[in-house]
Amino acid sequence: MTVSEPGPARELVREADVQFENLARQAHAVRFGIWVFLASELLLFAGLFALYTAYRTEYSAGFIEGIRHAELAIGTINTSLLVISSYTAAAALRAIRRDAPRATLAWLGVTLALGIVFLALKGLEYSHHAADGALPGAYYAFRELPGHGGQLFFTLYYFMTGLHVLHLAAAVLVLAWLAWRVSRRRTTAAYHADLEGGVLYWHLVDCIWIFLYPLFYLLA
Amino acid sequence: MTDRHRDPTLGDAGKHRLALGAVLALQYLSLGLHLVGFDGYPVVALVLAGTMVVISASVFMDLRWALAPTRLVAVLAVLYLGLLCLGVAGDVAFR
Repeated sequence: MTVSEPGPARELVREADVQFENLARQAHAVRFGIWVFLASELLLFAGLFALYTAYRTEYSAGFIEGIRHAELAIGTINTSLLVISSYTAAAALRAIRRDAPRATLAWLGVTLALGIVFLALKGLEYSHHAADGALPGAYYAFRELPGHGGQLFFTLYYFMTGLHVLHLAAAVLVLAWLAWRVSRRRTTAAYHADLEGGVLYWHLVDCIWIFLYPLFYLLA
Repeated sequence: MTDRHRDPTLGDAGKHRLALGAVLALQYLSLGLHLVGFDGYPVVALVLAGTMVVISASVFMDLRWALAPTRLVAVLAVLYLGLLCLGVAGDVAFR
């Protein structure tokens, strides 16, 4: 990186890393690498979806009762929040492409706010379940739904949605870091493969939730 | 996020708004069908969720503009998912 001009409005002119011929090739490598990473994440969740299907087949009644005890309103609001945040994340990318850092920061701020509200609502939902005794594994003590099926449902519920929460928390941190880079003009219209990667990751987290929503809130 | 995405106008705001509206509409359609107790709802819900993901991936993630190796990675991941679904369905059917 070199500095194009001195002073407060200076902008870092990005040069390709030494192993790349130019920035375009570097950006291509970053995009390809991100997609490989996203595919590996998909495989992780795919195994869990298969586990859910197998247990749901075996303990159908317990799973259906478990879904009837889900916090449908919170799940629905959270789904809408994530869908809208996908739009705002894509808008941030559109803004950086037209070299509008302030608009990029604004869209990233909205995206981050939506993600944080999602996490807060999820915490509220967990606290409701915990108060009822619907805890995972050996700690399960939900009197309204005794039996192995309910226990397995809530164990999978905590594990799969908890893993998703961890992914979303990581995505929030990544986007916050990228917002800092945009504010410092380290991510610009000329080179923004890092922001593209972060936004792609955000979209993946959204897509995974789109499947978790019917599995844990609707399919009763 | 796109390999051919050099022209900023390709990331059309109108298309993104349309996709957002479509995905939200599908979400509330799924919720509505759940609330009215629609027959065969589980299959419909999963089809609706799949459609939402396809819209999101093709419009927001700009997969349609990606180069062949990138799309190949996405296709392989989806094929793996299909194989997994077949395996689970086979297990359920022949258990």
